[in-house]
Amino acid sequence: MEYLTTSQIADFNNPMAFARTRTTRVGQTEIGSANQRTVRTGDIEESYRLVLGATEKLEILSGNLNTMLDLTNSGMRNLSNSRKQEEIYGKLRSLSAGFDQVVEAIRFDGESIFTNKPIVLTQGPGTRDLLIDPVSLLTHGENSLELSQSVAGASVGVEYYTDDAILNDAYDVVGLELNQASYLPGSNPALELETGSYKVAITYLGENSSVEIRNTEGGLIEKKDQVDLSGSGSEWVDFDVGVRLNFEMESLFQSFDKYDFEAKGAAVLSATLNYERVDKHVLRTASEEPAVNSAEFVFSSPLTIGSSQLKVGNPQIAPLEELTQPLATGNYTVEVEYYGENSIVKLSDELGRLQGYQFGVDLSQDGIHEVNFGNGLSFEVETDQFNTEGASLTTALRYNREAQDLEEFDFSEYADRIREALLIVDEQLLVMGEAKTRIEETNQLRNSASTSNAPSAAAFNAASANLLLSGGGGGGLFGAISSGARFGVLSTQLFETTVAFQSQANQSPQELAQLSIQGNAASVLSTFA
Amino acid sequence: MNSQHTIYQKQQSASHPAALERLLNCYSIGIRAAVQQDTVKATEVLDLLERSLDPSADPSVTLSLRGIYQECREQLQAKNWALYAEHLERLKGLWIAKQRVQQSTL
Repeated sequence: MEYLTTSQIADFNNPMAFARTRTTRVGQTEIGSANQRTVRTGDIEESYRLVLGATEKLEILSGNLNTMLDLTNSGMRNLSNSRKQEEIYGKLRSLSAGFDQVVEAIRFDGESIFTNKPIVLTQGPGTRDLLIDPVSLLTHGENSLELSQSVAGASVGVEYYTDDAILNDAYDVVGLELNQASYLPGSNPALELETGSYKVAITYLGENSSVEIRNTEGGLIEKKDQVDLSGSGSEWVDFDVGVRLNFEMESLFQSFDKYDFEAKGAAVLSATLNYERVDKHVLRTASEEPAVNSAEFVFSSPLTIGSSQLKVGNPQIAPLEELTQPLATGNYTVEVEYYGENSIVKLSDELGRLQGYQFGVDLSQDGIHEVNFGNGLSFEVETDQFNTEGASLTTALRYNREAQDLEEFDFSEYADRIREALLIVDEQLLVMGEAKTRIEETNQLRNSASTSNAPSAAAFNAASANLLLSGGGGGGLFGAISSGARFGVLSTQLFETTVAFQSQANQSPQELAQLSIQGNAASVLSTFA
Repeated sequence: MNSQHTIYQKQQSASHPAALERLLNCYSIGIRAAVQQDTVKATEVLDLLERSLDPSADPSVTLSLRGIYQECREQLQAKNWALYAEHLERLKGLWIAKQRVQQSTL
């Protein structure tokens, strides 16, 4: 296999790449899947063609497994090279998905033959039929090769079609966009949407807006009231049907927010939601279930001064903003520095490096104020009569992020699984070889003169392995050269050199004292007067 | 000899915990200036930080820091207080992390 580009690696490792279409609801067993019908050939020639064709495809599968084994060995040799590991992992995802496509394409009379169905090979009158009970050669599912897992998910997207545009043009709403929709795992599977298109109806009334999901005939499926679409920032709305909608908001006008609903009445906006049930193709070797996302404050004691109080609470897993590095699993420090409407909220990792920063958070009014760093964490800061400028509340937070599949992938263990799979495929080759011999013997006995005219093998409807990708944005890893990159470079330099402090920590006490004293009182007065 | 002695003294003072404390303080004053939207003070902080860069210790670190301070100045001119403060806060965090790593390896 050739080298993959960075963009290809990102595509290959996109969780939605190689996803398979799912027809059932989450957790529902496909009717009839447990009792699949037997594959039966019509005569000895068909039996021979089936056996020869199956043998040929089993050899392809064996070759595919050997390539995967070589890659896995290469992964074991490159444990310290993360890019190489990602590349190998992406190739393994691709090859294993291709493997399943080959297995499903090995069909006889429309029935796939290597998916746990018994095969009856007819040998003609006077000769006993041969019964073969092939095992499932799929990489996922029960009694399979166990080289991958099939995890229920959905591909969800938002689009604006002409009918939406016509409706939306009737209202001059500025600064509100429903820009993203995603599948929400863990919601009620009984309510899951079927694959298809739906309408999202947004009734804009500032902080009292509502959002509905309707079918294309207009029937209401679910409605969420009291959605705050006022102000600027991001707002996400979770539906029990398993969909999360993400709104981006920007408040541009002085006199009203996005739309003057008080004067003109509610604005009713429309978008189209496309939902597709899929099974994600997952490669992981960890035996336990993946860690779930969670966030909790380890200490949540409020800062109390007299009768006033400042506290944090309700930490949540929030959607990631574009081009934002997700917060890693770990312990963090949250610090709220109170400066009224110019307050600061900081998130630092265990070493003290800044991981989230909100400047100019308005905590001057009593109540709950949401802080969303955009890196997957949000929480609330609550103030009650608090007005002590310069006071700060520090607390600890534990954050668990669902591990990437590669983080739970052991190349060595996967190599063992591939070796086991190779044994199974070799066993199937032996079975097919034996069946071929038996059919040839029967044919020879029946007509000793015609053995040279043995049935030819060319009858299988087996497509070649399709390694093309589905999905994946392919934005690339180097999309944005920003100050973030500068800090990345500096961070590496600082930790590599032993004389970093000498490069910068040279401020004399006199200089610093001068800086501390000069103009402080005046500027405090000028700002907060 | 005299200049060597000065460099030695400088490096001695830079490696002292008090020197790091002063550097962190310097960033804090800058962040406070951003909260108060005090352009004069915020500029003075950048001036001091740039003035106290010592390329002889590690030119690449100095160059990177200078680049970031330049970006801070641009944010300051654009009155983008949030980014100015965030940059200083980020630098402060990096120095704290550097110190913690250094202490844990000693």
